[in-house]
Amino acid sequence: MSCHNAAIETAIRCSYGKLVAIIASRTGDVEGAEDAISDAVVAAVEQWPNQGIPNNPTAWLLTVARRRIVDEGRRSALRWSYHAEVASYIQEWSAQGISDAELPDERLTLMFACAHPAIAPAVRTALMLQCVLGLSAERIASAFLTSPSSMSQRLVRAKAKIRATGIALDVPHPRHLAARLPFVADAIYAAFTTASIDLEAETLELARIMTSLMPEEKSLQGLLALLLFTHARRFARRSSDGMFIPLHEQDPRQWDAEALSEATEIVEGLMAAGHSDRYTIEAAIQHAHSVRFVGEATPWPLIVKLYDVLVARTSALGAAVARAVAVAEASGPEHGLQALDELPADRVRLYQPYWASRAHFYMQLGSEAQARVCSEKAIGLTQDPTVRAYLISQIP
Amino acid sequence: MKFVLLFNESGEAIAKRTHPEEGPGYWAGWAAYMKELGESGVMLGGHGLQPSETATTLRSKNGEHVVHDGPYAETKEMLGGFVSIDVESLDEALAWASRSPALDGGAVEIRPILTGM
Repeated sequence: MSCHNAAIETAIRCSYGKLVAIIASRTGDVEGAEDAISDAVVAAVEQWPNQGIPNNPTAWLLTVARRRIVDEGRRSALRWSYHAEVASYIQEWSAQGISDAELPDERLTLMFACAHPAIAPAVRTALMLQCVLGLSAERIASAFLTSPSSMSQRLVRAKAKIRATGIALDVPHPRHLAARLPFVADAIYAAFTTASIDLEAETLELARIMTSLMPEEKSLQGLLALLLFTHARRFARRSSDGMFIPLHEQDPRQWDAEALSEATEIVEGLMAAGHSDRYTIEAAIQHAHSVRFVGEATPWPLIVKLYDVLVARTSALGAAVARAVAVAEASGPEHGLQALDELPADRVRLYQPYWASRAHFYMQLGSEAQARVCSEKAIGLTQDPTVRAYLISQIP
Repeated sequence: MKFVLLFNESGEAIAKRTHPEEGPGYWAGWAAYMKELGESGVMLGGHGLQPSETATTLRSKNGEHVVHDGPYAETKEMLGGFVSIDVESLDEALAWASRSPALDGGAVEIRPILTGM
């Protein structure tokens, strides 16, 4: 039964953004579009467990939503001046018994609206997760460690801004595309780096939507490869009793061969074509780590070189700390410490990986007292209980 | 903004306090967290608490005082301690709560402190 529910959840998540996009791209009203399909989603959750998932779930949901859209149009004709157009579109489709494959996939327009420069950067990712995948404000709030009520407010305000300022729900003109695309990629990447609980499947789905709808955009491919490398290690990150296992201690045989080979193919293609954008470099680093899968030793000097390029492209603290770890592996812990010393003290003060790495370097150098001080700081800043238990087990 | 973080620990976590093997890890986690809170300058004060079975409860029933031993732990969680902190926002309070070892099976309740009274 739980498997069945998961299938329903997946089907709804896949249809949700398509429906919101179809309606919102004709009304300019994302929140109204979500309201319009909310009853249809409730009906699906009630009926599909017994009736099974329909062959064309998106068309099914759209047909159910039509009634609500017509009612809504009557009630608030001012808000939706295009309601008649939307209703007649849907009427036409449902009368023809249209299949999901024949419905337009306009989710790109939604992606670009959610990551529009006029929307506050901090809200873009949350907005995507809600409008494109239908995630609840509670789930998103938990992932970003903020309160559900303030997350709801931020989302409502952002959707009101899309409507009020007339942020266009369309794909940017080719002239502006190169400037707008990084906003979308960055918002997806933020789901990957800042969400505290696992949004891995959802993040990967957002990246897949983008790469499938814009297959010619190489900059999105690097992001997809990066997410796939991480996804490939999902079973190796915890031992059977739930303990945390850092990358260098993971058993490569537990990595997902299919995800690894897909990611490898993408990143090798990108590098052969000379791409060196930020996400391609990050994917290349993960690619270098993955040679352990075929029994080779991790090529640390190459990884350091890649991090040098990455650090020049981003001021992200994570990249700088990871570079120090690679430097330590390639040339010794004293050089790793030096690299950490170069980071500004006010930025690293509450950054757990900095202190965990520092403790690790001191331990390798045999400086037990300093290792202990840094280790305690790392433990005090850790969110994940399994990581905390791991760090405590490493105290000298 | 001032908040109190109420650390509701699981019965299992409380039992670790006196466990010969699990005890040191339990205390190391809390000691590191409290030290970090103290050094960050956000902490106003706080205490760890003995388990709730050591408590004594006083109520008033029909105008008379009634004293009970306990409550004895029947619930899955009990208040294991609390701190008061002064931070910029609820998000910052949540960030500190998220680092608490209480979340290993328990919960942290974040309450704004009444002001202006």
